[in-house]
Amino acid sequence: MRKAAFFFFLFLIPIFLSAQNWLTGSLDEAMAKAKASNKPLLLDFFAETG
Amino acid sequence: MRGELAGEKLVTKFGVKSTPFLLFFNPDGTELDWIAGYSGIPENFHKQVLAILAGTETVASLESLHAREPDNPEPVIKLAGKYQARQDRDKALALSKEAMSLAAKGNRTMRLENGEVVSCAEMAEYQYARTYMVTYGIIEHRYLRDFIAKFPSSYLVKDAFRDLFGLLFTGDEGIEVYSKMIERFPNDPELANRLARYFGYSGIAGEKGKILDLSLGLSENALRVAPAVSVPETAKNLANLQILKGLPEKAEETYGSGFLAGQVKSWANNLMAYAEFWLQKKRNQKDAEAAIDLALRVRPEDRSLLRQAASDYLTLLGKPEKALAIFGPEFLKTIQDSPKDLYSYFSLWIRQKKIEAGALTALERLLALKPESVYYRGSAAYALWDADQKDKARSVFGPEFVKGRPENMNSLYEYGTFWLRRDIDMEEVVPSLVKSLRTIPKGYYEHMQTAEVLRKAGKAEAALAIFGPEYLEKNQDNPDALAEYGNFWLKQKSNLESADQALEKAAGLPSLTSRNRMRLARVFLDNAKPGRAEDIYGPAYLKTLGSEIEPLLFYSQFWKYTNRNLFSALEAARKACALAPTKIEAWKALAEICVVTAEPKEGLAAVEKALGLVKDSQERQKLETLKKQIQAALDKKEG
Repeated sequence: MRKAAFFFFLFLIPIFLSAQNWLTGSLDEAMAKAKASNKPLLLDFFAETG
Repeated sequence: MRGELAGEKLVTKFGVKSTPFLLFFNPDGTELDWIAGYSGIPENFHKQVLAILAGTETVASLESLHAREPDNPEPVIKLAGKYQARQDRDKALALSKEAMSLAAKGNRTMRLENGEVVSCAEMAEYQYARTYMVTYGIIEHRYLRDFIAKFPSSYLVKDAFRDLFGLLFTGDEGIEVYSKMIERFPNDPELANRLARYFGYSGIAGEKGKILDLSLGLSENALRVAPAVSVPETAKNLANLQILKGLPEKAEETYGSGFLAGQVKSWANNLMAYAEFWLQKKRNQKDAEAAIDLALRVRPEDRSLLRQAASDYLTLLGKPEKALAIFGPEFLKTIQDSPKDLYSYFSLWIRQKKIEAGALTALERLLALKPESVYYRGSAAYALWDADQKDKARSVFGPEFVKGRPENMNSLYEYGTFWLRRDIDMEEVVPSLVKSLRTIPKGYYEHMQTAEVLRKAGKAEAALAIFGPEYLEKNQDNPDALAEYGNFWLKQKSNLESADQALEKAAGLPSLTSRNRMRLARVFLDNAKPGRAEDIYGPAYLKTLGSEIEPLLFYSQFWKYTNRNLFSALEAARKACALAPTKIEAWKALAEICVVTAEPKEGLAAVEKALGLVKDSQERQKLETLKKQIQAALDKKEG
């Protein structure tokens, strides 16, 4: 297929990424959670390539 | 997810131009840093993430360092690199320029990741130059070549040559670039391999003169040096030194299990490359087959290697029984939970039209694991269609699939473009495409291509819906989109008023590049509006061109080719020669334009200048022919 699909995921980054809490919902909600728990947030954009 | 409006909005909001892309935020929602691409081994990627979390050289920390030390170019150079990776050309260039002016005020140096120390001045200039090669936009190599000329002994020159391999240089230009590279790095194996790979590109098939000799010489020199250096021995020696120094962990990193795994992988790959090389050349067949068998013994669990070997057994050796033994039904049993391997199994056998039932079983299992994947369904549909399994393609990626996903624009688009070109199920396909492209627009090329196919299929209304006035309204600032829109509809002899509006809008945009103007002029000329072509790209524009050679040469060649405005083209070529008296292309352009402007005397002088500079024999021949032509014109004029 010429173009790959493209996804994004969000997760809060606990120390050393030992447990990845993938969040669902909007970015605003994720931002609010990150702020409340004082953790950085990672937004991952990637292509589905199989 | 892409294809859904919310996902697309985030892509736009954060200016994501390529994937994979990871964006990190501080808890307060401000941007902390980013990583563009997953490169290298997982451990190194993990280290990168940890460094960001520790605040080491993040965008935020570099900005704060810059605020504290405004005269220090280093953080600005590093920031330029970050924006370069993010494909933000404008910002990367602006930061590099700022760093260049800061670096010019002092003699600061900086340490690269590999420990090398370079001056901030050269690093800033290198960063500036490479931005033109590695970010989206028109690729321009002259800045890197200027960098090499300005800092010939810099450590960064090798990186600059490496970057230049993003383009393939031919003729005199190729001879110049590659000769300089070899002069500086006469036996570098990496550059030797890169230059040798150049001859693997089909577009270069005719380039067998001097550049082939240069590449041959460099590869011979590199191979003469390479056997003297054994990487495993160097790694072993380093590990030994690290242990003596009391650093056993470092030794593990240098020469431990990771090192060995890399070596084993490399042996297997080398064996496969050897086998395929000789099989394709239809020589050493027995030896080649033995090499494949050995590669499989070296890495028996490597599934992609198994597929590669199966494909070679089938297509290069004609031994399907061997392919089945390693990549047949027994193998299928072992990959039931791996979508990637199931697809690999399916696509190999379906395209080979062998064990098709098994291939379809693999596909079924794959779709059970990944029912929502547009990627796998679309790819499977292509493979099935090519294998003449058209009904099956339709059942996998047909109307039933999109019926259940009316709001997934990516599914609608991929489904629509696949079937539109096959003229099947148009009643479902056309509305799907229109809905998808109106909800989430793509680039102008996708809209234009789809509109063209729709018009050919007699769906004029649908073509207008995706590439008509509504599209125009949303693309008022995009000169390329406006020019192509205008050209498309003028050629179609339809929607003419809107086409004219688009071209006039484009012509009036404030920041048109030389290429934008040239394209617009071409569209105006093709559509019988020469006056407008000259307004936008004629003598008045020539007066605004500064000392950049390429726009002058393009201008001259454009008008010569279109056989209009010839004296202005002559003026541009003269200007280019005055600015770049050692550039063959400039003298050649001047000689050529002199032919059509009946200035043979000046043309003869120009072609002689070019002949005095040229090194490539083929190019010399062309110039000699041009010289004869001009001489004949001169004799006629004088005699």
